[in-house]
Amino acid sequence: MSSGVVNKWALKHYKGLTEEAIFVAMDELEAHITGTKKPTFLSSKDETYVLAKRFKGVLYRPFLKQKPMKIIQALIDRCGQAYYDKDLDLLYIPKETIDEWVMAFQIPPDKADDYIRPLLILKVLEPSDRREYVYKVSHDFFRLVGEPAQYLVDSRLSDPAKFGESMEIVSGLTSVYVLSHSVKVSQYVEEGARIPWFLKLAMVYTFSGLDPVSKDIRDVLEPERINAVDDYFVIEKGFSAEFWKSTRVDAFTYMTENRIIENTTSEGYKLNTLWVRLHKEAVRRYVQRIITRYRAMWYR
Amino acid sequence: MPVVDFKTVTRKYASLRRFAGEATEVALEAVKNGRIEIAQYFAKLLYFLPFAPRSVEKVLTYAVLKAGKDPQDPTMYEVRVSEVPGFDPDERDSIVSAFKSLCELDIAEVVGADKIKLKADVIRDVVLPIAPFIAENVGTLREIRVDDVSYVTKTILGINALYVMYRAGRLPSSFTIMMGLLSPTTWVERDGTVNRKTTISRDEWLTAKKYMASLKPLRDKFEVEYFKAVGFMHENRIVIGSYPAFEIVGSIVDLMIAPAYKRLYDLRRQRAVTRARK
Repeated sequence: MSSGVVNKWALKHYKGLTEEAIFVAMDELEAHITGTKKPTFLSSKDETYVLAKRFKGVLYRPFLKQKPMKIIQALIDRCGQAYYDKDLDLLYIPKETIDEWVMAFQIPPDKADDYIRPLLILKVLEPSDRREYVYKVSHDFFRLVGEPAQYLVDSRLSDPAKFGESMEIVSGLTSVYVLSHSVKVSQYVEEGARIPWFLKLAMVYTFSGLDPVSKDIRDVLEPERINAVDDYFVIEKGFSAEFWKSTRVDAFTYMTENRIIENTTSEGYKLNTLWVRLHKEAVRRYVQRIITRYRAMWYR
Repeated sequence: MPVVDFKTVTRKYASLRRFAGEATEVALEAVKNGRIEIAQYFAKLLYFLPFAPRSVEKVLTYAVLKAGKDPQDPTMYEVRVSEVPGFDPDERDSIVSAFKSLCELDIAEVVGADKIKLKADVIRDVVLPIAPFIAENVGTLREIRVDDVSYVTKTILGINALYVMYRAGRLPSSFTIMMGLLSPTTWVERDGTVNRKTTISRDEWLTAKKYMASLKPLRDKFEVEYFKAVGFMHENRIVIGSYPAFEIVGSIVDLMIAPAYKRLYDLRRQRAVTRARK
């Protein structure tokens, strides 16, 4: 494919592709960290953590409300403590802790349930199976973030460099976990948080470089490609131009901050290798899914 | 089962040195093919070269920039002592010694008193690939500040460093060690497939370090050179994360390490074939 041409197919299927990418990321995290799935495109746990860093800070944007975010932070800390002490009882949350959240995060007492419900939908919390506790941190969530989160808790364990990078990893893991559950929920329920646009746009830019023949994704993002994607959404799909301008700034800020754009080259922006590989795998799985669906329709 | 991997590279000095040499050549070739972004990671490397005086960097940068401004005009390939910026009037000697050492490196030739000219193959290998880039990014010659660490300058400094190392046929130990430390990012299978990744686990890093520390030519100065190499990698952002695994910039792996491995593999195969024929 000559440079500067976008893949129209990828643009048309942007919704399915971005959702698939989130699922692929989640499956890969589960495969390497908790060992419940089969790994596909990454070779080690280290790579998985590095991939997770690419999703750092997604939740700190206006995706979740601020107060559930604070509760999630408290839960991450709890997971870290539980992992370090090897004490799973810490994952159970008694009534007193909820009262403390209400006090500390200045939540109106009658609205406490409203703030906790999103966490139940997103499977961060689940109802407790023991009578004396109200909630329990979901086991999947604990297994995902427990290990890196331990460095955030105990100051004896962490040197500053490790702390900073563990912070990024935990933030990335939480983001992918919450995103994938919110996408799953929104597929069945009408409302519900979906993938925020700045992240979606960063992914669409990547998908637009798909080569139809070799199924590779070009890892250099040229200005022509950016313009073509923008034209497609603003002119063909009729998005508001002002909305698009602000989203684009947001997307590029996100891409630079999370080192998805590694550096500038004479041709365009060089994208991170792991990020591109994630998208390649997402395309493969999405195509597979479509083929299966067509086959099912055909042979019905 | 990999047939060439970082252990094969770092266990013997000969293969480590060859690997680093191949990597330099491969990087220069990438520049020639238009992927000049690779060069920025090697800016300031020239300061580590034991055999080149420091003023070489300033003079060469100026010469390349000047020639790149208008490569069609052969008079732009020439540089006079009096015109090089960034030197005080009493530092004339250091410009002259830089000229001398550029001639020794076969990068330039003397064309008159106090005047040198870049050689034709330097123009072909270094100047022509980056000339459009210079024309686009650098204004008039007066505005050039050699000490400026912008992307343009970094790129040009990097190309110069790679080229000087290639021409001199000598590599600073810190560069050799750096290549050894980066080598776990790639491995070659028996059938010649080259596998790449952008992370280096702590174990791999420490194993590579351990092997290199026991190599005879590096043994007595390893600590210092290792320190220099790690500092260089962080400063030039070759390593962009260090916990839980070291994360390496993708361009370096794609354009430098992987093709160098491919060459190493081809060489070993060729040798095996000739040995079998004898």
